[in-house]
Amino acid sequence: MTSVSPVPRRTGAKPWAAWLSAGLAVLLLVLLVVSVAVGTVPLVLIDAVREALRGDATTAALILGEIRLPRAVLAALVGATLGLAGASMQGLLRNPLAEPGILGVSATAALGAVLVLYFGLSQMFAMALPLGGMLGALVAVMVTYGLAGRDSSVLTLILAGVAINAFAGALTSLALNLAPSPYAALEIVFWLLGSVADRSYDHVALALPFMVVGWLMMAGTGRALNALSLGEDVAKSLGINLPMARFRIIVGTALAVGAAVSVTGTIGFVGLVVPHLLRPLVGYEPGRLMIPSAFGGAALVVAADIVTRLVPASSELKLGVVTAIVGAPFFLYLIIHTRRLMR
Amino acid sequence: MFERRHRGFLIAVSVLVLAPLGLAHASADRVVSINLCADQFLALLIHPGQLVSVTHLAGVPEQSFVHDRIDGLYINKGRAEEILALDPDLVVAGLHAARPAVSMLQKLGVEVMDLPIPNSFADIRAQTMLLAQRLGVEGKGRALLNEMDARLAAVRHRPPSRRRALVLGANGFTNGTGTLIDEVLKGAGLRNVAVEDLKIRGFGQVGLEDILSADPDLIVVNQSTNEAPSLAGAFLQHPALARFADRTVTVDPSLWTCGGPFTARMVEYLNGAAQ
Repeated sequence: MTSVSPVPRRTGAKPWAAWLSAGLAVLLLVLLVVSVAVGTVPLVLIDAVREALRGDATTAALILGEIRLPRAVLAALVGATLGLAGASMQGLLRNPLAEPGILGVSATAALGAVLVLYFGLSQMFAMALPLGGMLGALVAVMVTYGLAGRDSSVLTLILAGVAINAFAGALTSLALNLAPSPYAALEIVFWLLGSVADRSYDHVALALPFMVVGWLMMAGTGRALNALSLGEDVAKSLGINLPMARFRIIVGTALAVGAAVSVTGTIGFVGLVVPHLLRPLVGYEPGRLMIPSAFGGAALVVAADIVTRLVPASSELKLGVVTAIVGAPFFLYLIIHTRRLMR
Repeated sequence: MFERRHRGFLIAVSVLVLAPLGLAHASADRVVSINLCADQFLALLIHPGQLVSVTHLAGVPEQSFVHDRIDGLYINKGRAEEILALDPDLVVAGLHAARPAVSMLQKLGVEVMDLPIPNSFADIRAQTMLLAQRLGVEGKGRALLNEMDARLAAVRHRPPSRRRALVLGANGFTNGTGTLIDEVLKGAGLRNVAVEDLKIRGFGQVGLEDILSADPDLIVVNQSTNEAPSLAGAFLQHPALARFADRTVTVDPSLWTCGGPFTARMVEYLNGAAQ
């Protein structure tokens, strides 16, 4: 940026904010290595990596390359999406409790994906799955911002989220009960709590293009969010195109979160917890918060996925169980802290 | 001859059947089935006329071996009042299904015979003969069993080249020790990877990593190809299982759902597929 940049930099901004992203990226890498090292069959990781790189179709190479790696990669991509979406929504709504899960975006995305998957549309063409998720997500995002436009009270948004979550959850359950497959009703757990177990590169390939487009749309709004943190009028006077920023975040969230949820189910609280923990470290600048939140979200979901495999249970835990155990108390803590805002 | 463990089964069935009757058999001119597996036994043993009604599943080709033998029969949904209206001499039910309807029928004085789930060929023999005796068609029962035993014996002389087999259904469910499918694999000359490598008892779940590291010679898929979509069904489409594509066989799903004299055909098929 040149010196004529109209957006003021806050004096509290930490000069080492860029290092934060780098540090979180390193943490993510370490967690990814741990993630591919954990599984039901003991592997010598070095040998498996060597065999996989040589292209040998040994059992170890296949377990590493075809089962554990796509799972870890998908966890990271979905985590990044949720972290980034959380940071963007919090910035745009100027609301510390905004998050895809709490506002019902993930729940409607799951509903869209369920309708497409269980009634055969995604069998006809595979792309229908992420499209269903994105369409579902778009509905909730539009409702949320529609409400926020008229009345940006924290309480209204949260209550709207409660209603959307309840409604989408009920319709998802209804759809699964009506689905022709005898297994459908049991799979409500996947859609409500999320999992990356036994996911493959097929799922990565389905969701990744839309997630990347969504990320790019959200990532370009940093300056607008910084300006917006000073108030809407200030932002307008600084020449920020607010409708454009709003559009990019609405559509970007719907694309990225919708595609992510359509292959992993809903994973709650990631977009809430991560931006919050990182906000003080970037000097409370919403624009600077975005990229660290993406890396932080990725690290959190990969870590949660490791925990699901370490807990000795007859069947693997769902991801949302782990993130909710961390996130829900955090949510309560935030509510207590923002009580003044809610009046 | 029945082995000891099967004698217990026989006695249990006998008690269930005979207790309400004393020793004398009532007639069985109007027989109604309210269970898919009973449908199949009855359609093989007796003729329309004596068999009055079967369940709505009996006519589904993916689930029923006798789907083409039930023309003209009343199709029931297993509800007590519609069964009662058929005025049956004998109702045959599954031991683990439709219990409220069964107890209602019994309360109203209808004779109900319960079929347990057979876990071995000995169980199938016992069940067939018990039913045949009650229905007064011992000769037919014996003929069905002779045919079954002949098929099993023919297979015994053709040991397959692929020996280690793993049964896989939706969500990675498989059959271990004590299941009829385990006996089917043994009968086909196969070794059950679920038992030998993965130590599974009864029905159990195996993960993708377990399947890859056990590396079976033959994967026997227990899933019909035109099943409605679900995540459970998608398990078997995971790319990590692609390496097994040329050693995967799918068994006619109508043979899976229930055990009966026709189960010998599954043994034949698997033995042939593993050659």
